[in-house]
Amino acid sequence: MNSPSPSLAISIRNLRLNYGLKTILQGIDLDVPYGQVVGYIGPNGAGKSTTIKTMLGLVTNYTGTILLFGKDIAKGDLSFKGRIGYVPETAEMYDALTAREYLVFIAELYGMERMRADRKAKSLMHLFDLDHMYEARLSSLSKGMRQKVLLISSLLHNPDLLFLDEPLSGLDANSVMIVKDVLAELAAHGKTIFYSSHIMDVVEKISDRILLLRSGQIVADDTFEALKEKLHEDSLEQIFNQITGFEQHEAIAREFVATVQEV
Amino acid sequence: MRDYLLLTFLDRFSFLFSKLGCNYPIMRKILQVKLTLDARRVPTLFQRAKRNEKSDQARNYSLRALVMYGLLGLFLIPFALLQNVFFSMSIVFAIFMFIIMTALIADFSSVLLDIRDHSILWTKPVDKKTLSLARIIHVSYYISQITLAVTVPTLITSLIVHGVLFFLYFIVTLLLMDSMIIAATAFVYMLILRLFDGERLKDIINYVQIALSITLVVGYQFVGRSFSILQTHIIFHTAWWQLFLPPVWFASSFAWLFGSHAHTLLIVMACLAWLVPLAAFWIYVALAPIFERSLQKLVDDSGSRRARRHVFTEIAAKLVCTSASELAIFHFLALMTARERDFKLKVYPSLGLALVLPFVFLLNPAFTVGIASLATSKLYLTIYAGALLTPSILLMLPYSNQHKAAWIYAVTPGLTREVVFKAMIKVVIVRLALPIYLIDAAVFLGIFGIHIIPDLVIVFWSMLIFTMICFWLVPKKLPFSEPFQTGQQSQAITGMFLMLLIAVFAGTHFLATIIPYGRIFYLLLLFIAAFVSFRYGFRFPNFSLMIKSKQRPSK
Repeated sequence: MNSPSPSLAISIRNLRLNYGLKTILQGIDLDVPYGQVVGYIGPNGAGKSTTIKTMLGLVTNYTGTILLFGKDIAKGDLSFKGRIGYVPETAEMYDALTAREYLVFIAELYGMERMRADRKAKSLMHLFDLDHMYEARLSSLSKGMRQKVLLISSLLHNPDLLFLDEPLSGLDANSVMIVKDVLAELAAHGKTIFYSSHIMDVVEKISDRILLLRSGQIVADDTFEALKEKLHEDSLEQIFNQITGFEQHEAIAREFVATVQEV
Repeated sequence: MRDYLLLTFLDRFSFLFSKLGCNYPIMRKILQVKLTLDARRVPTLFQRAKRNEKSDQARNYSLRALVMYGLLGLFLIPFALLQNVFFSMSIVFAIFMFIIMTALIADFSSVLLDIRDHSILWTKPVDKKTLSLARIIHVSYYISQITLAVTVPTLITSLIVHGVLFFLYFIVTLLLMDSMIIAATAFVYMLILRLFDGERLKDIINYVQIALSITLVVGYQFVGRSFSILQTHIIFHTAWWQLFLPPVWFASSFAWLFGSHAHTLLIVMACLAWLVPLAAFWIYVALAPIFERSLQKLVDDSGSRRARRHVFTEIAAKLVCTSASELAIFHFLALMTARERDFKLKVYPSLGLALVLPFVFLLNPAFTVGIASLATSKLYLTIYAGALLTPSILLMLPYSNQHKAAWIYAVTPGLTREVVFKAMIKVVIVRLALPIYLIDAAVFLGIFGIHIIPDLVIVFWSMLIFTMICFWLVPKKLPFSEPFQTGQQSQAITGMFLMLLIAVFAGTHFLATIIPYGRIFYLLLLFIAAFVSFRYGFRFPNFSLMIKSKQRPSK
């Protein structure tokens, strides 16, 4: 690839990262135009969350270039963060705050006005059927509820680019459906969405494009249809298995059960 | 969220912060959230929803702790009264620095090392300067509270004895001292995180907490002595090696400004007192982003540890456990008591205390009659103090942050309460009480001589029986099966009562030493009692392993 392109939402060239002797990312090149929904998949420990954290400026000792909205994030201008919404994988929140306090606080960090943030947060909570939890401490929320609050907190300031790290974890089937449609609707409004997930059939359905990461490298980058054709597989799950070179699952399963039977 | 006094105070200086290049309104909001979080931290687990704004009391740092620090400060008054300003200030600052530094490490590491900030705050369009400044102010706020509590008695004394100027300068130096302590602590954390991983840092913090609680107790013992220093005439001169002692720098600046004679070394050290704290704090502010980055290491803590074999525990387990399931529970509890950080935080400081208490009780007699004449006395009975904290260990054992994992007891077939409690008591004895006893006993042998061996054997058996009595009297709950509660007052009373009981054991032992052949009979008696209590002490009418569902309020 040539030099990074400033007219894209995301443009990454030769992104590399080491933790001590461990190589996490080894040369990632990526161009994402505005309005695209990118599903980012890969085995555990492939570097998915790290890529997202690096783009958010949480990890700084990388080499290579990252342009978001056409600007190099290493240049020290933080305004790009104001246009990003982020749902972290670890679902970390200040648990002692109520949902209202937390959401308003986050919105204020994005520069929103207090009353407006409160009103907006309240309506979004209502749409997620969480009215009754608006004044509750986050620590008393269930996993799925917390995930919804996180999602709201990432959207309050109407960001142009969304980084969602496992946004569906803990959600029930109905909520997954709502979130899926919300993402599609956001994309239709020109938002760029970059999300990682392990739930293959969701990724398969809502992504314009699928990126597969393995040991810090992008090993597949195409639409689902194209990948299907290229690899002669029917589902993303099979594609995932094939590309990550994982064919022994049956053998492992057999051995696993054999070991279980030993007693 | 309420508007904290600190915030309205800071508002007056908002122009200063803006000048420093930080976004004041945002910093204010972050601080407000942080203070709210702290205020709500006290009762953490399982409060259901409805607690809202009204419950935010201004209990930022528990008032009781501040009073404790204030009392500690009272004891420093005699030092502030000493004639020699250089000497008196050296001592005062040495003690201040120790107390404040350990308090910072023990109580506020969570503030310095809050890693939630990473994913929550750092991903927002807030510049690093504002974030670091918010953190620095947050920590400084607490440190000032403690400093104030500890120093107020000394400050007032100095105002009366040395006058207003001295008093004002004292306040300035205290500010310098605090900034140096904060910077130094941050540097140490940075270094540790560079060299080791986050787990190690948490361990080190744990050890500091233990050290703090021990020093406080031992420190109080010397307080009584401190007044006698007033009479003695101590000659304390400057020397080159004092260049490495920060408390002496501060004292030098006092000696230079308010003392009679000045010489080069004194002036050099006085300058250090002004320059080093400012420089250190400035470097800290400048390096804060790097500090924050090294915190990342706390987040991605992926290091798997080497499998270590605990030979002692394994052998002991085989010796004391009678069934396979008991052995399994023993190993499980041995690991939990060694690893569970919350348990360690609450119990290990008491263990450290238990270790030194026997010596603490020896201190005053040692001062008055001398170590040599101790050997012929019966003061070795103070070793019973080592068992003083067994009740509080037993009282802490049922609680855990991961109490829900206690379902394992319920699903394990054939596991009775009897087995779990047997293993629990054995773990308490083998892993917690025995090491303390052995160390204390070894040192006591050195002090009193080998003729106390029979007595040490008696102490050992008494300790076993005492542990069993404690076990009978505390509420019998499965280990690590309940959430931490705030109000455990009724249990505290049980704990107090049990501590008195240890005195009864020591008293009986004392009687046995007076009566001819008393010790042999007593030992025999203890032996039988121990045998019986271990044999039948675990049989309760209620053997069910039902775990209370969390909805039902536990009594």
